[in-house]
Amino acid sequence: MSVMMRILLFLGSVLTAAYVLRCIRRSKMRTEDSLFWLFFSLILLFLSIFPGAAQAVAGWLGVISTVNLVYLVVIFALIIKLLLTDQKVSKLEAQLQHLVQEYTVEHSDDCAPSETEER
Amino acid sequence: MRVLIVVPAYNEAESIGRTLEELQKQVPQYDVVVVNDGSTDETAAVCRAQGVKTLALPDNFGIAGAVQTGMRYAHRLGYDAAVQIDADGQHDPRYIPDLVSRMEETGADLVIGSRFVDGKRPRSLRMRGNALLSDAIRATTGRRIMDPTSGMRLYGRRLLKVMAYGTNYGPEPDTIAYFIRSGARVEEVPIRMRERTAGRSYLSLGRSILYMIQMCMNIWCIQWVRKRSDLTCR
Repeated sequence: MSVMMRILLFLGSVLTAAYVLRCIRRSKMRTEDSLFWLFFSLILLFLSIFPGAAQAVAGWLGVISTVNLVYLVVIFALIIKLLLTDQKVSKLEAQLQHLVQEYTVEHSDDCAPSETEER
Repeated sequence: MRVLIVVPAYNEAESIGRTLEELQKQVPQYDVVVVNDGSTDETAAVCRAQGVKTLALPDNFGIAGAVQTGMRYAHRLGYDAAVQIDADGQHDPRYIPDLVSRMEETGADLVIGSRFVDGKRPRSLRMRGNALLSDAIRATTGRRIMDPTSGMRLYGRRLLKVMAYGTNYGPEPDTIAYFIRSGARVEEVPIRMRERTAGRSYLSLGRSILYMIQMCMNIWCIQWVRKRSDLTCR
């Protein structure tokens, strides 16, 4: 990994962490969701400071260029995050739907406001 | 002081009946509200049969969402304080008046029902976690909280408001640390808890580990970037 690449990684990880912390400060993100990004930044930071670790792993996996390993790690992390986010969106959609359905039934002409029995 | 007892419940039909009966018997002077967190069993029916006020969430939002709903209700109806009581019977309502009188005497914002006021925790993995969190809070706020994971907490009006409408105010140890740093006054009162009367605990080993990582991250790192909570308005 070239020095330039390491600097880029270092900056990238620090800026990502800073941005996420700023989101939390402004109550735009839940702390549970920030956990992933902070660990992600930590890993990139680690790789930028200790390129030897990346080199070693690259060797084991048969990856010739160390920087390709970094790309692999980032892509893999993004895939995981995408899966987790999809899960979250599905849950949000379900919750929203139930909320709207509840509202619709409560405000229909024939229903008096009451607790529903079944979900 | 007008106190509301908030009972978050998710599929606790087996134990909640007994818990509500006990609340009626031990502390009839306080209002009770059950927050039904989208239960799919007969929790709602049990509450209705006992004539207890219930807030029925249309879906499952988790303990933080359920408690927040209760807080919102408490604040909106002008209560001076709200205490969280678990539906599974682990919390003995007999101690609620102790929490209330401590709050009245000291003007505290938060009174925690603490199992370990004398400092002795039983030896188990769960309690190691409890000790770890106590150390984390001590290190970052200077305050020693003996039982940071106790769910039996009495929140005063100032805290009610921010918990009701804010983000990242879950009823967890990290929020306690954040409140301390925001200038809230916290007290602990000795209590004893019991085993849950029925059902299974939500916390598996995997979840507990994730919980500990999240809490440590929040207490050691994240609480420093949050603006001090504005506790001035009621």
